[in-house]
Amino acid sequence: MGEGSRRRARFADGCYLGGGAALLASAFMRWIARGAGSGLRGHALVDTLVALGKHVPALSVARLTILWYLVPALGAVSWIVYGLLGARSRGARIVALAALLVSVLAAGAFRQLAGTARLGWGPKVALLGGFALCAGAWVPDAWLRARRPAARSSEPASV
Amino acid sequence: MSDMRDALNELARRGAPRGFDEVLKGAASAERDAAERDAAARDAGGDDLDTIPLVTAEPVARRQSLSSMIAAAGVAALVLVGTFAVSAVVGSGGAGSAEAAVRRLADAVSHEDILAAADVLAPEEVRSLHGTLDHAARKAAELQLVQTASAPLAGVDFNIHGLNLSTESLGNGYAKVTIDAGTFTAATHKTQFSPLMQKVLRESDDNSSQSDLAKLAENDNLPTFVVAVRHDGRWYVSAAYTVLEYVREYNRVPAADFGSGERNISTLGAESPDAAVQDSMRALQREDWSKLISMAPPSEIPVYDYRDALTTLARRNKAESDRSTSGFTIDSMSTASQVNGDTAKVTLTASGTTDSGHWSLDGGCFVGPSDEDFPYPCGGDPVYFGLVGTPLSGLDKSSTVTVVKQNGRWFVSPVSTVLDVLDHFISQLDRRSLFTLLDIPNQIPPDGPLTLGRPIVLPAGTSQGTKVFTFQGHEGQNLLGLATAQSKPSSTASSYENYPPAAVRMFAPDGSEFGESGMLDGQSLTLPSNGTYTVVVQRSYLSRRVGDVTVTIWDAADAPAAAKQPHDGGSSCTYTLLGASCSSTSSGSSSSIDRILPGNNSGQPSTNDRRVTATSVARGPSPTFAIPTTVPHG
Repeated sequence: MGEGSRRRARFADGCYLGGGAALLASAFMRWIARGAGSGLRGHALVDTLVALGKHVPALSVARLTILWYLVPALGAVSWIVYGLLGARSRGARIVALAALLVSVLAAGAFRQLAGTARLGWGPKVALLGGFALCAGAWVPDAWLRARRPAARSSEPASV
Repeated sequence: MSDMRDALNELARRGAPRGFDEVLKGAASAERDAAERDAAARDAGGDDLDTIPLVTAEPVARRQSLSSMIAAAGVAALVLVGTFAVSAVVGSGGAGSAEAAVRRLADAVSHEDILAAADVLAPEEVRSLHGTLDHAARKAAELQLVQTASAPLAGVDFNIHGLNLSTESLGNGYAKVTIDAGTFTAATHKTQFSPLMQKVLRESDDNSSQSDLAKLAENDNLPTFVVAVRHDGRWYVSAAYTVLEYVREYNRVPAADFGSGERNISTLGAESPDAAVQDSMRALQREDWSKLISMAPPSEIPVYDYRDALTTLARRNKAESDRSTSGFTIDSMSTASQVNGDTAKVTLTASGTTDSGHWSLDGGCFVGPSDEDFPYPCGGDPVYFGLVGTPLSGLDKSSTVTVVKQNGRWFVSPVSTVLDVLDHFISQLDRRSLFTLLDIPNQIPPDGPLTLGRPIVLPAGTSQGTKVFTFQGHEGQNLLGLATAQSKPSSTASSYENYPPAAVRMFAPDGSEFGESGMLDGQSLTLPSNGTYTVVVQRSYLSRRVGDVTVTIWDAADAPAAAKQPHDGGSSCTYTLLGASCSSTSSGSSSSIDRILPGNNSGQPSTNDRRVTATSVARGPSPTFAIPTTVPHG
């Protein structure tokens, strides 16, 4: 494998790891920039927003809470999968797809609960993380492979 | 044998002859190619069988250890997320230190998160404040005061920055956090308010202000500080301790005995909810401040810790006032309590006298010596209390005193009692009262079309004291009205019986108000254009002493003679969008009463002056006669 190919592989790995880190980090960021819930996370955040009369169709308080916690959880799982199987493994791709789906759903749900203007960095970083995971997991082979050097002798050594 | 030799020679002749070195090089090259094919296969799909390298390469080992570390970090992160979820379920209000609690409060203020601010306050002091704030936010959204309940302060920007704090321990679990530096800025952005609030604010522009937090109490030679208390291992900002500590420092009275209330709680309070309320009333009558202090729950209002300071202050004030007693007596008192666990609701009925006269209390309805002529309708229309005092309309005969049980003793809970009143006020507040208070009565959904000649009844003491109608008017049409009351005011209030007990406000088709409307005072109003007008008919502030008020509006040509007579003589004016045209019809008294506008709640009018304190609204030539047309807007 050539140096260029190795660099591209490392970049793709970095995307995957960075995406996982972004999903994890989103749990410690503000999901609501201002107003009620801005200092809250997790179920307290969901409880507060729902208590103020907002709701998301087909998503109960419990489901919204699970959805919120799935975001950083999938970020952690992506690292585990990377370590065990690699960023371009089937498992890694499944996790990346799930993370993207969950981050899109969560961002959409909170947009419904709080409005776009009040969304904090949390959902935005989560979305970014989901896309980065997918980019790292589905980087095309052709982009990864370096140009092959001149053909070597392929005859097996004989004794 | 020779066949075998021939076969071996045939085999040896295959390929090019090579030496030992050549064989080794070939083997190494073949191994490298195999390793590269293996790496490429793993990158592409990973499903291929891994080829077993002939030589264990050091770079592969390093990559495996790194992957393991990343996997381990992922496991740790997953555990962290789980712990985070569990700790969130268990709950962790407050902060880890006194300073952190203050910073958390500042952060909540900076993000206009009033619920987070309530959560960092001492839980025993705020009790159900979080619920009340929730309730208020939802009601504000329902009434369209705010665009969304989760952002009730949208349009208002607060920011606290540059905070520099120092902490001084006051005792075990008590700390004073002094703000050595910090800036508080506030700004309003009118375009972010709800459309309704933009109508209320009308002409006002965006504002901004800035304060140096370290110098808030500079005029009193005091630093800016906040007291924090520790509860179950977490620190909270204590509003009660902060206020009491400011009172103590300002008045230079003895220091508090922190924690003494909690330590002596078994000797404080009363044996039953009824006893708690009655003992408090008796202590108030006797001016026995020590006893009264002991009736407050120490964890909610720590006045017991400050008993030395407060009793010293009370003695000092009494000495300065040169009065031996206030003349306050309790002639009769009865209580009825409903107990629910560690909380009880006590209904108090009492009466007595003061130096000024008789007083009575029935639930939340208090009538004092000065209220007998102009009683406020208990539990009635909040508009009578003005914008600032309007939460008092939450008091009615069903109001109770909340009493709480701690360590087997019963205490009167001021916070819970007040929050109950606020909750009641919020739940009964409706658009009609609120829009009247905010001086946008034309935003109230109309009650129907105005029919000329049909009486409109404005009942006493309810939110139906304001009614809104639509009217299809045409240019040049003259309207005239008459307001009559079911009963006349008493002789002591006779100064006001010449004023109409109601007022009419006209809003043009474009929503703008026009005319200093004297149409209930013998002055016809001319409509300037064709269109749908909004007509607001309201009881006046001075109609508290009368029963139902009836207002009838006619076309001026059809109005009876009584409608054409001004109440007090003076000028007769007609009003149009271009201004007022007045002519004097009488040389009678020159009293002039201007309209009461928002921000000018004058309270009870003086009986010595017919002028009601207000701000005049001049449109064109100033009329020499105007009437109190609206209820106070506080």
